[in-house]
Amino acid sequence: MHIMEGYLPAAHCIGWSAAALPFLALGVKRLSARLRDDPEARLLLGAAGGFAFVLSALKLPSVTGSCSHPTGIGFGTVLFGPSIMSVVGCVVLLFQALLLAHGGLTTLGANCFSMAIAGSFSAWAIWRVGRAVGLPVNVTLFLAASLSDLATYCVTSLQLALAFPDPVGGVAGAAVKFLGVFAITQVPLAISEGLLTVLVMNLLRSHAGEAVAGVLPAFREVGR
Amino acid sequence: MLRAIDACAHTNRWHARSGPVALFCAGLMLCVLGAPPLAAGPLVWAAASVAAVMGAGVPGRLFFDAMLVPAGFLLTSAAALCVTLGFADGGVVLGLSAAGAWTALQTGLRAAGALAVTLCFACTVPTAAWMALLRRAGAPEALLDLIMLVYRMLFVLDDARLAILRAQDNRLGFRTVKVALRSTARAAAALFLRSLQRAARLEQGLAARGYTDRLPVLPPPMAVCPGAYAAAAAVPVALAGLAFTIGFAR
Repeated sequence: MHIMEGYLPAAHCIGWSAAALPFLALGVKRLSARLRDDPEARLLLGAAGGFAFVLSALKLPSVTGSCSHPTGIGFGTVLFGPSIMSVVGCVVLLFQALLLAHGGLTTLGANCFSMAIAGSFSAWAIWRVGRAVGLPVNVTLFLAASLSDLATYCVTSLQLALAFPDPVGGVAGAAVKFLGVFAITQVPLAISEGLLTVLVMNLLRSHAGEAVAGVLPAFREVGR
Repeated sequence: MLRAIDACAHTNRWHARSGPVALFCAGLMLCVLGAPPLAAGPLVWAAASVAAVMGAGVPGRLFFDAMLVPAGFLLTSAAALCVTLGFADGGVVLGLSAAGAWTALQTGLRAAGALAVTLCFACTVPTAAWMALLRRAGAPEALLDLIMLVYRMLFVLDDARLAILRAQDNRLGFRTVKVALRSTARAAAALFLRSLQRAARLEQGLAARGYTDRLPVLPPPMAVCPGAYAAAAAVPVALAGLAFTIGFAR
């Protein structure tokens, strides 16, 4: 769920961009370090970004009968880590804004914060906690992918509520309104993306587990 | 739309004037975000649309069709803005709000203007040109490399996506929700494997050509006179002046 171009007031665009900047700076620093240590990873990360972009063009059937698209944030975070995925997510959002008119340049900071940062860090936290407490891999993957989608949707609703507080209910009332309006599409989408992520990982495990693990060592943990 | 916008950015009449076009779009964006939206929104929308369609020769159908998808978000969230929600006596009170409708109108006009500016930029400035502008502005090299690599991968993977989906569709792979979800997962897994294979092949090919750690791209040649920059700055300033005049007159 991306906030469209020009929808947020200028002060909020600047504020959310400033909030996203430290995370992106950290991500770029880690990205630079990784590329210095392992120059071959450059092309792999480019491929991951291209994959995340193309995922957004896949239609995902939703239980309400509508269609939406997966974000790939949960999937990418498990394999690449949250810092790098936040930068990859930001680049994907940039291309979505320019080549698909999805999201926007002025709202790039806000969308980065909700999807690339809140989404990937929440997915990472859920994945780590799930593995630490010994949940089955597929359950943890489902939770990481679907709850990170829900985190994105909640942060976006909060961003909209802060920009447009309700005349009667204030920010809390506006947050309930936006959460309610977008829940129709976003909650089924989160469940669908969780199922999709598990199915994709199962297919990769059964058909190309060794090949993927050879390129992405993190896949070994998912493949157990 | 992906290919149409990218092709248009490389073939429009202004593709060699990225500097002034970027300045023009940045000025319009500042104008629509800073000036009173009731006047600035329609003025900027008209200026960006006229500049793109009549000035740069962007096909009108492409330009206006691209606005349809964001309109869905605009209508949904505008409906939420028109409704008020309060909490009283332990319950939720819903109602319609004139102030909310006014906010929705202002926000919608601002968003429409800003969307037209972004589309004008996307349809007239090629990726290599805006990357050159970012490099000049001091963006980190690692980030620019990632942007360029993602851009190079997009179209190859999008071709693969279309081929996979067509093949699945021909085999009735989307006839029910359950089958569609499984087909989408198969498509995503296949795309992921293809992206890894593509990266490996690209890496081998580049290594054979002496690749170290840079993928320099020559930006398209620029044919720009100072007058173009002056005009690109003057139009947004004039529009902002007009928008503030109309805004204060109300």
